[in-house]
Amino acid sequence: MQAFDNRCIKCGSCQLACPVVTIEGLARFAGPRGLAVEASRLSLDLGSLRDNLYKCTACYRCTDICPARLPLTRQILEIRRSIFAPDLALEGHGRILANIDAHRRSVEPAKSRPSFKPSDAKLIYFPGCIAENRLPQILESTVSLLSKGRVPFRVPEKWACCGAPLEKVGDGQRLRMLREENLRAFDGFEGLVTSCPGCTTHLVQDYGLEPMHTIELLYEVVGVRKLPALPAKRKVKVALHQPCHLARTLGPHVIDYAAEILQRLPGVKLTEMEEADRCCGGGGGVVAGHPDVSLALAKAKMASAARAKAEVVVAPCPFCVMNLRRAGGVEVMDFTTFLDAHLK
Amino acid sequence: MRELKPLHVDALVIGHGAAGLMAASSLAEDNNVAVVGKGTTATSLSTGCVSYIRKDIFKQEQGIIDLEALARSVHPFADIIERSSLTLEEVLPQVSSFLFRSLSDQGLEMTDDTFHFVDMLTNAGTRYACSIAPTFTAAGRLDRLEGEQLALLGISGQGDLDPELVAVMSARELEGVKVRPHRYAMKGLKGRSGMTSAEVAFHLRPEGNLEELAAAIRELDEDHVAIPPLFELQRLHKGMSELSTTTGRNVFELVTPMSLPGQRLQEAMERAAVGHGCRLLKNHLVTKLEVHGARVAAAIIQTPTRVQRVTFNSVILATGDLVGGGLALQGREVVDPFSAFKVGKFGEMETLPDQTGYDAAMRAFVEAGYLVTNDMRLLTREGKPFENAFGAGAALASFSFPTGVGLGGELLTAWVAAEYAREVS
Repeated sequence: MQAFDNRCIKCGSCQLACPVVTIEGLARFAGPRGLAVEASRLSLDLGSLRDNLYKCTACYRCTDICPARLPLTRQILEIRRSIFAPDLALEGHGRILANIDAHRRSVEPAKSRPSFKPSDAKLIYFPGCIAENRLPQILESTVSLLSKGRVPFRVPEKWACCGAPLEKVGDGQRLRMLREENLRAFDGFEGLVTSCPGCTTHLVQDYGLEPMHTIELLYEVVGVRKLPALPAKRKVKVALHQPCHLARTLGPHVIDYAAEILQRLPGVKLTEMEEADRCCGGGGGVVAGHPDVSLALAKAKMASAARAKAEVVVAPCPFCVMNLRRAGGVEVMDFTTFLDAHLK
Repeated sequence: MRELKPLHVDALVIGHGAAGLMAASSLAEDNNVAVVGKGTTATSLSTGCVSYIRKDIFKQEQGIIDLEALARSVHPFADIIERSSLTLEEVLPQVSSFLFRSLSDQGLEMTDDTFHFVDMLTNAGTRYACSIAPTFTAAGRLDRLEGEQLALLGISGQGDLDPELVAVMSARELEGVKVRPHRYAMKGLKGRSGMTSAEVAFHLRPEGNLEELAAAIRELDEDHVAIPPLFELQRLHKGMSELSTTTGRNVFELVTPMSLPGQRLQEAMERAAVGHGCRLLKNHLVTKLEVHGARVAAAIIQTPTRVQRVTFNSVILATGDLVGGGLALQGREVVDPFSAFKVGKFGEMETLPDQTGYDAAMRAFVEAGYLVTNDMRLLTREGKPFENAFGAGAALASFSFPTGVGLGGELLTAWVAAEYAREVS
């Protein structure tokens, strides 16, 4: 583990910024400083903090805010890796491991999965487990948008889960196995595009590749002006949710792109949602590990959307879409699905 | 790392604290401006109050700032005075008025006492003097409390206001004021301890919870009620107004650092900058500056996974001081993160006048930082002025105040830096 704990200046910014601390209280969640700095420094038995450690949604807000530039989120993930033991895994995390072993997916595979025509295109579209098996409309709309943008692509036949959920669970061994399998499956590629910010981030951080998120591809390569829109059927007030792994790990430019793309759609009015960049609770393996915590976060988010009088929450991330829908109250749509429905 | 399309702006401001945002907002009136920043700012950890100077440059008997003493005391200010086109008498009201306007548009109303000091009470029970404070903090100015009864209302389980402690500690500051400590256990938070201010603010969002708090205040005998900061920016005005109007009490916040007031100021300034047309690039680290002769031509900025080149006509460095800022200590030297600029070394500079009351180490410390010319141009390592790079705020040598003195100097130097940068943008 990286020894950085003595560089903390005790300003408390991370504790204030942490969405889980706000929901859970410090009595039930020690927060970024408590876990990444104090627990390590006091040489506590880190395993005894298992329950606490797995409440972190890996939203990177603490890392973003830390004036001493401590990689707090990475440290929490490193600690998870150091205490990982398959027989001690939380129930939901055990299911992830079992699914990986059986299907090379983090979730139970859907009964029917879309098939892709073989192609010798150099650009790989990496679909991700959630889009493929839980939200197939993301897959369909991404494919549709790529063809509307005249971007040739292929989906590798033997792709596996990128490994992001295993990073959150702390299973380094399976993580390496998936990376090796994917790198073999990607053979001969010259570009990568993903529709899941979690995959995008993981393929950068763990694989050292340079994938683009769909929004980046649509904006930078296809060009937003080349996406002719359908006339407005009705006016719709949209709140744009800012997924952590887009706004923070990739960068706020992706959110600017998304907002610009949405604003150009006839009939769409963007409404500002309070704390749009606050974690929805969908990340970090918390949905599987501590579903009550992720639901409370999702409810807070949807309450913001309702206060902003949004009719649709557009979320450019399959994890966020799934989790926000659990809270309900306002319709939640994936970005690509919403966009594709508005384009010719 | 994947490179994004290069960006060109008229002016790039590095640092998104009070100085950076002020410079950017001001420049954005007639320029295309981007602000890059990373991490929490000293502004967001501050009390959210503003003072242009230390209290020792304050004519007690007349109750106004001694501008001449001010000009003598701190070097960037003195340089402003020396220039005929900019005088402190003119600049101060301009900066304040721009600040008031910008913040009030974002829901943060400030009192207008630019040339005066008012005394308020902190959450440590000490006296805090400043010129400009949020209206709901200034409502508790000490001259207003004389001979009155004051309730200190803490929230159970939250440390921003420990009523018993403040009652004891504030005894000597509050002569003639009858103080009583109270605690309120907030609905839904009973039994919680060590709560952050964000946690409490979050739980005050539902309307019913605010009404319950108001009901608890109505039960108090005192006319003046001090509370910890409880409201986020979006709810500040409504929350505080309701607590006062529905209870008939003068409800005010104690001056509280490292809590909501600083965050509110930060958020309001960010929103104001965006409102003025700035492109705010948060969560970006500047990793490199390209220097050609006496010009800084470009900056390389990075998110955790993306990199971008930004070109500009002028650049303002507002990276803050040694305390959580962009500068860093290496042995006894102050290290410039961009290594192109001349930096005042720790412990080797002329010292501030003795009346500052700082000890030698502190004086040396506050004098460390970037060196600038009279027109706020940064110097090259060899000591020559850059054509298009300016310094602002606590990053400047002789400028880094100890904490707790207010952000006025940061705002003022930023304003002036923007004036000069405008000429080359």
